[in-house]
Amino acid sequence: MTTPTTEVTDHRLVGVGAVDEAGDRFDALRALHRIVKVTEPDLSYWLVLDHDLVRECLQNPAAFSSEVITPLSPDPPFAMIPIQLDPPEHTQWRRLLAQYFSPRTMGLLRPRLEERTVELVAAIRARGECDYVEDFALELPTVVFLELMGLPIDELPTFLEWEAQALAPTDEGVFDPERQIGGIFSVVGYFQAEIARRRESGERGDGLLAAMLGWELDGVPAPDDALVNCCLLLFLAGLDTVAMSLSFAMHHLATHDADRRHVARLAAAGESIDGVVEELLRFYAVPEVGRKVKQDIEIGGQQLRAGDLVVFPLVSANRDEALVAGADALDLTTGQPAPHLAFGAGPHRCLGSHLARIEMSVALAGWHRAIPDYALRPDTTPQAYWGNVHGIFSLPLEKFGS
Amino acid sequence: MRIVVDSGLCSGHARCNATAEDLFPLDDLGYVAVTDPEVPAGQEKRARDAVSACPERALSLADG
Repeated sequence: MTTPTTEVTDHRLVGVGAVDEAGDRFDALRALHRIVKVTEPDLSYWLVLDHDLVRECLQNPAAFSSEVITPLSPDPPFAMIPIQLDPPEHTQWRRLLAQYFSPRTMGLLRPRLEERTVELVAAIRARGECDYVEDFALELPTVVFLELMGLPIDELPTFLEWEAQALAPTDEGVFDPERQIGGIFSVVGYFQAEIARRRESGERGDGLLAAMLGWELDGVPAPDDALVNCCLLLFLAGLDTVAMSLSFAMHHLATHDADRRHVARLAAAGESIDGVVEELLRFYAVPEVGRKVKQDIEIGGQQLRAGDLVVFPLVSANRDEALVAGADALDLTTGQPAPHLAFGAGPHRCLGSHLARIEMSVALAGWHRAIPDYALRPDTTPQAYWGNVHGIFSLPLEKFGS
Repeated sequence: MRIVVDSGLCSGHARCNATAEDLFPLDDLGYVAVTDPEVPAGQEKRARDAVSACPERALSLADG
């Protein structure tokens, strides 16, 4: 049975504000509704706020297609592989990719990550201050990406520049399409040239890219343009998501003394901080995932029509009391982590989730071992932005102590 | 106590494995591949914790 639709006109998919607002801006709506219809001046979409609905819809790709993954791009010029494919096409690609992102394979990257974290944190500690976003959070996942793909580490500055163009808003919080497309074209051009170079030389080289050159779909070699497309997706999906999850985590710890001391204590004792990472991921889940309705369907008492667009803010699902009692507050001392949806649900569950978890764990443990105490620079108020991924512009930290 | 897997729902979060690695082994792709569904005596709590760690609700426990 359908119930009257709540139409909301004052919600914005894209915006800038206080750091806490990125996640808090769903609380009032979720208290009253499981799903609402949002109409903005240039956009219209359903906003699903309820944990069970988010999970059930993401588990139903036949009704909720990934052909559109954000209302900001309702008619995508091409489908990114594999994130914009639906089963069964999606399944083939995931099967090829999965072993390279399995918990076991990702665990092999841990020593290199620890090494790089120690280097980065030592340099920051020696300086006595940093912008955590630029000096640490963006750099670590990009290094990992280059290693994973089998690309030379001296490409790091170039990739960081393209990443800033393709993913980050301008200082005013605007996503400039021309700048973004420029960054994306640069990445595409790089991978086209690199794949061509490896093909011509007959040496596949290292890393995931080497494996990709041998991939087949239905017994036919995967075309190079599809491989380039997939490389672009791996670049786009794994960098700012991890960087911003880390940045929200560190903003929280910098501004909550008891939580910071708790993490520092665990790090100093060499104890696992995996539970801390889970709770931070849950509470500050950065992605807002989009889908396109493929067939008329009723969810949460609302009638959705084929062609409608839907947004699933994962942070809203994760702060729903239906997930766990007290979900609207962060508790780092909680016993068993809640089965949150920070990495989504269904067949598109974040491919890089196991890598992201290790990156978060290594980064937070490594930082707190070397810099157990720190504070926000007092004359600044960090600002967040939101859109397909939530982010923080900059996070100046100082007063490093032990 | 027996582990029941809805493999259609498993999407490879691997939280069960992170909670109780021995009871919930993974295949090469990282999806759960329970080889022995019988939960050994004394391991019931670990099994229950692992089941409730699944974000997809793909796992359950049955008597016997």
